[in-house]
Amino acid sequence: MSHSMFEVRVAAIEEVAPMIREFCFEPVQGSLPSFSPGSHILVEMPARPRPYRNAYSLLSDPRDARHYRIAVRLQERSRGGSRFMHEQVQCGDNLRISAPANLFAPYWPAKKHLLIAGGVGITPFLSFLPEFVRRQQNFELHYLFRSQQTGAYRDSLRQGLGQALHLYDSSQGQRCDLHALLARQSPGTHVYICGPQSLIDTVTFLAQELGWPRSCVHFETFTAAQPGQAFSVELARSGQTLAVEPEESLLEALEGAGVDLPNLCRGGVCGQCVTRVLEGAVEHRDAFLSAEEKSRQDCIMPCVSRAQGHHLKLDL
Amino acid sequence: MRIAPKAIQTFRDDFTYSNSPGAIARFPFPFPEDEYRYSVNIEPHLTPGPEGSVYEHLFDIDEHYLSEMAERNLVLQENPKRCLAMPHMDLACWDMIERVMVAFATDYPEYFALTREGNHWIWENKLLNQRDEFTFGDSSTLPLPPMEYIGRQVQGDFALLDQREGDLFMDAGIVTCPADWSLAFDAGMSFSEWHGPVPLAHEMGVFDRALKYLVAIPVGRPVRRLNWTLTINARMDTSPETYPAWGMDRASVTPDNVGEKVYLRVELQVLDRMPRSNALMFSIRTYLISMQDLVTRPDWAKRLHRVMKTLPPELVEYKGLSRFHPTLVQWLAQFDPAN
Amino acid sequence: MSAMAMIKSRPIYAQPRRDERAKMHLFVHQGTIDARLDALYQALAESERALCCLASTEERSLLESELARLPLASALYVAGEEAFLWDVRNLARQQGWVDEQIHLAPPLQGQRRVFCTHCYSLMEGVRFSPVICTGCARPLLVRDHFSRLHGAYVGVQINVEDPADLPEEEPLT
Repeated sequence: MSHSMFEVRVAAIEEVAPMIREFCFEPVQGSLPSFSPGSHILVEMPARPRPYRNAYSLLSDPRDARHYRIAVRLQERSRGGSRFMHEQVQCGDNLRISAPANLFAPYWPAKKHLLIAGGVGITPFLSFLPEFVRRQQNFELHYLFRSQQTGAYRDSLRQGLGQALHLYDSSQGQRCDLHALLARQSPGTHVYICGPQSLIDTVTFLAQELGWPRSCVHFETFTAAQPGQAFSVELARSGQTLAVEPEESLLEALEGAGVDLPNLCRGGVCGQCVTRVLEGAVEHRDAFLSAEEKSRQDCIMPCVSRAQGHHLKLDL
Repeated sequence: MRIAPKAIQTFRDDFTYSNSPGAIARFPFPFPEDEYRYSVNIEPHLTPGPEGSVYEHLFDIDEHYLSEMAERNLVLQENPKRCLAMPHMDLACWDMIERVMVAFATDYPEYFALTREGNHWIWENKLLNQRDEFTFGDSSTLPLPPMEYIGRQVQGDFALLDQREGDLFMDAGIVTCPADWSLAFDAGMSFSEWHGPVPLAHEMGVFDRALKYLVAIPVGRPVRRLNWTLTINARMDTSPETYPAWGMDRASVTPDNVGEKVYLRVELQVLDRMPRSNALMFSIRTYLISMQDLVTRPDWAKRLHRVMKTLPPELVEYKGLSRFHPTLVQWLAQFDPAN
Repeated sequence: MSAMAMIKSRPIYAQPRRDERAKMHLFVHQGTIDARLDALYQALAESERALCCLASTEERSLLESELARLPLASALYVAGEEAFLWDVRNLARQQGWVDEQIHLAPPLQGQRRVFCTHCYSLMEGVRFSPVICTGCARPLLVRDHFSRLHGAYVGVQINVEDPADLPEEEPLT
């Protein structure tokens, strides 16, 4: 929710891979809230005509909340957020961020944690690792990247993890045999995947083929809203009608018109922005509503979902 | 004006507990309508709330502080298992210590002080005449296990709910003034399991909706709700454990003693995300008011009559009101002009 | 009793079917083999099944080694008294198994483990309510509120509000 956003100062910017920049935030006043491994924050970028708000995993050690650190990969098909972070944000700038929320916590009762990261998907695991070491957890990190673009933090990971780290640089033709990796695990192993959708799909498919219980497979599902067709939205209570452009989400269009909805993930996972639909068919793109709730066509997650046709009427 | 803690009164035996006029004025009367209905009545616990109200601060300290801490000590002496924390909840207990101490020192500086130099903390509780130095996060540096240590300094029951698999689990708590539930039995239960005995609400989908909401609560955005029941005498410890000591009180209500015997028991429940552990802190702050004090507010007396009269029989049974409910409704009727 | 039927913590059991996801199937029985589970066991190839017969979970080291030996893609089927089912389930979870892999067969009806809410004693094989607590000698009403951790139903003194109100023993379901 916008009222809980607060200001931080950009204390440092570092290029940690050819396409990835790390941003270090420090508090403008007081101190930053502590956080748990797997937490993310929303970062608001003061772009025009409307601000961007993207979710980024915190990658620093959760026991050290003096700073927050995030890493942003420049997306080729950026809707503007990652480009803004790379090109506009300077050291010493102030940005507004949300308090941390966690939708990707480690499953602590696991006997072993198997982490599979693809590219910038390494970031949430960077907050897992120090806590795993402190709690003497059994874990392995398998890190798939393309050194011409990604592959950040390899040196520090090598120093900190030793045998538990496995690197696969596809720019050098190195491949990870995911099937063999999953096939050799014992009971009590949980796998965590963060990276491109294709990696998530591959690992979940293999896990199913191999007979893994579903609940031993964890992945970070939220991704930024994808563009779609333009449509109009009518707000029943205020009588307003808004146009939603192809490149903006319904949530962003509502915020642009001064309608603030609660939201945490802006990626169809947390369920905070759920809104009642009075008219029109919804193209559901979220991971929150059940299939049954989706089929009723009476609510929408405006952060990612859109109209199927040209029109929606919302109870707002 | 905040009410300063007063000398120790009792919640058992001679029941010397009483509410000052100031405490009556700030009592959290829980009924917004004439008819009681289940709902997911959760709202943001935005602080500071109205000055002097029970919602002003994250944790409400009032005139009963010393009495409630003395009562908690009696309960724990009789049965130390009224407080428990599973080993994996240690970090969550420390989250709670930080939340309570920082809030107390900020909101009630006349009574509490906290000095932090890195992990070296100095804590002063002037109400309990206590001063402790410890290393934050190191349970061996505290005089008691962390949950009991902090729980003995704050009014209300506490549970720390571990969050995993999209559910919440009752894995730690200090519960010495419950409305008839047992932490020892409910330990380790999921959200839907520990609400198992609650009638009607499951069918209405109340718990499914509430759970989805609760697992998404972020750091620094606590929420609250009120719950209520009726208690005979000003007894804080209405637990199943001690039911043999208080159950017969329910048969002691007569038309002549309703005003002094029957108490409205209101729980201010707050749910707050613990930052390091991702656990959810569930605080249950209990307020008791006698019928005779309650009816000094004509609007409350009239409303309570209507709520009691329309209460579904399942709830009368579940809340344990059957033996005295008709007597109470009849007594309250005198305050409702519609009768 | 309608008020009791509503208690949602009481487990609902279904006759296990073959877990289609699993590659290995472990059967744990208390004493003699349950006929319906035996049919499931017999239908599996020898290479994909394992059997463990226990009198009680006292023999836990045998079970623990089986649970640790099997591959991640395994299913567990348990038959026996209700308390035994949950003891085995809790043991498997300690070994890292998840509920999705664990299939509990409908237990014999009418036998419960009871947790006395006053003295925390556990009583095995309780068939009637009220039952006299072996720890504190109070007559306990056995309720349907169930703890998976204890594998037990809660018992609460029945005649507190009226000492004369001691109903006839009724068989538990």
